[in-house]
Amino acid sequence: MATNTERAGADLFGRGLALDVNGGWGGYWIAMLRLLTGYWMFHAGITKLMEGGLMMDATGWMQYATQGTLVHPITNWFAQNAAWLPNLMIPMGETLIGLGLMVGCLTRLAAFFGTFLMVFFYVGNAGFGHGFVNGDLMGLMLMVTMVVFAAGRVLGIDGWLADTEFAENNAWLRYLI
Amino acid sequence: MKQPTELTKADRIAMLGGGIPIALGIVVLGLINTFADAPAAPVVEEGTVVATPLIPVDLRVGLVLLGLLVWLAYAVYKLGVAPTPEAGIDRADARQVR
Repeated sequence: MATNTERAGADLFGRGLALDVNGGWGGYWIAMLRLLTGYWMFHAGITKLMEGGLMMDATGWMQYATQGTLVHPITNWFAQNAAWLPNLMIPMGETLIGLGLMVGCLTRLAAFFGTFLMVFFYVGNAGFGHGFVNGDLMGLMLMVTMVVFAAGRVLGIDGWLADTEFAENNAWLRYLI
Repeated sequence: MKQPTELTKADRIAMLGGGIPIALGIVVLGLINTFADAPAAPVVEEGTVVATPLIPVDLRVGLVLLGLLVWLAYAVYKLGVAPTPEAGIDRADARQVR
């Protein structure tokens, strides 16, 4: 069924709750959040690419800034053994995630990787000097929100993709858009 | 029954009047500023401004503020509009996004 007639809803303790995403305020707000979240990520990535080229140097962050955090064993291993991967994936990933969210293309896939990235930032930046609910967690939650509401189907390319015959015949695509 | 998606003129004015300045201030002018290789805010080193953004910060923030004010005005307007019985929480056949 066409996305722009869909409703996100749930049954909460026996009461049906519905969020109308058919051009109403719910859909408008989801699209607004997607645009701003996308620009936030795109800006973070593209500025790294413009400043440092395809590869950034994240080894300092991976080795030292994350020290004492739960992700340090992972980031430290990558810093010492395969630094090229995060050095390439952070700027490229941020740029592509942001682009995907801004235009609403493969939004769930983009937001999944955005969530993955934000988990490292949230846990790795640590210190939690500003409390456990901080900007990184808010960014993480926004990414999850994009996945939950399939945000690209509202005023995004995914809305068109979901209507294609290919998507109709390949239900797995709904996990990506 | 009034459909939840039925938008009034006030809804449309608030959506466009609030959303456009914010999208313009953050995204459109942000992209222009970014691709001009300019910093988002003035860069100060040892008390001296060494780089300035192409798009003035106050202009971009002002647009965001304008959008927020439009939404606020809409919210205040809505407070003064008596809700119709149909405008309550919609319990009808809710289903998950597939």
